Amino acid sequence: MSPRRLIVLMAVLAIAPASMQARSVCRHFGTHTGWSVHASWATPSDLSADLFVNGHVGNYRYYGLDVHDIYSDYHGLTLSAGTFSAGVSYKFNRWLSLGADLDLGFLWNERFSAVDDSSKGVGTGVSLMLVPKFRVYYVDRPSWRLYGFIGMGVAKYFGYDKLKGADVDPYSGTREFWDYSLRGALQFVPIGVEFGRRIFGFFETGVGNEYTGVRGGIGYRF
Amino acid sequence: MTRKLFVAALTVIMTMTSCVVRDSSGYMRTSRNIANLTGEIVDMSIVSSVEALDRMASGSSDASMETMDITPDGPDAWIVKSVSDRMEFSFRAIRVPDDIDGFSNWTCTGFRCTYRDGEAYKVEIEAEGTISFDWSWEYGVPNSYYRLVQNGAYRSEFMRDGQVLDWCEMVYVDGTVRYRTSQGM
Repeated sequence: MSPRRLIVLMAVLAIAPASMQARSVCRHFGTHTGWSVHASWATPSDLSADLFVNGHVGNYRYYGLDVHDIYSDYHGLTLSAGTFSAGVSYKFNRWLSLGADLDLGFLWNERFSAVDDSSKGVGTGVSLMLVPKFRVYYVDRPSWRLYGFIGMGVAKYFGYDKLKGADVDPYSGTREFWDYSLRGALQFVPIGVEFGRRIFGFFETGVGNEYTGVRGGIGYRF
Repeated sequence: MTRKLFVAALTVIMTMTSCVVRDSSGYMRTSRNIANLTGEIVDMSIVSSVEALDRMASGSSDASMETMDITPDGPDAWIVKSVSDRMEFSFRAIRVPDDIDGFSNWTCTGFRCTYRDGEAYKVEIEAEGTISFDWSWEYGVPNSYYRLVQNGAYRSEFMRDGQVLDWCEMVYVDGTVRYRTSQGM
């Protein structure tokens, strides 16, 4: 982005809230500024499921399998309880709020030995995410609102076996450990709806590390 | 009312706890993977060695020959041995001059190879009889080139802690490969 465009964007961001505030005072539209908290449940994240099952995002396979890869454990159906979240946000004006969500996602599957097909028990993966959010309200009415947001944060994956491991260097013979269980997290929600005043419900659809599909929850506005 | 609440709660719980997100199994012990790895080991050992021998016979050499012990064994014949951390192999190679295109053909006997993956896993490969290598013109776009094509058969055994888990029989006919493994075709 050029410096000139950046200055124009900053000017719009600085002026727009005041403009919106003025309109809201005139017409008595929209909700008050201030804090709110919410709790929700969402369908599981496709990205997290990929990381749990494959250790990478997508369905592609690495070529050049070694012998131990061929005899690595396989698994049954991968199930999930979805993503549970709790969050807080602050509404600055009629169109902008900033906040953050703390998310907890659960996945599990039964593992089997490829050598003798015996069960090796259930493997469980837990994802813990902290995702700050930039939320924009498209429509702001006292009893309902339309919004969208982008969230960017961090995720820590516990029990995701394929994100951690060790390799033996073929030249030096030394064992090298690697751990990719701490990663960035992104969430994009193009559309969501809030309904209610002080106590409100919400329903949204989006894609990212927090969830893929839909999320619903309840909240309280202070 | 209580009954409706119970049904609603049960529906929600069942939906949440039975959400299947992946139906793939990640099963890798397939005939294709076993055959692919056998083919890769064949390429890394005997095929690359014959290519190196061919370069040596035509007067050039490269770094790939540093890990090989090449001993002359009569006119146009060599014993090749190679030992590295992961792979050991040996065979006897005979050069057969070709008057038609000027590129030498090769005949290899007694090929045996052991490939190790860590302390537990290894693959043993043995040629069943003679393996012959002929240079063949490969037409392609944008370039056409000569490549070594092989005729012969190999048998590999995949082992863990000395116990054979799988085998693979691989047959090359004019560079085209067919295989059969303990996991199927």
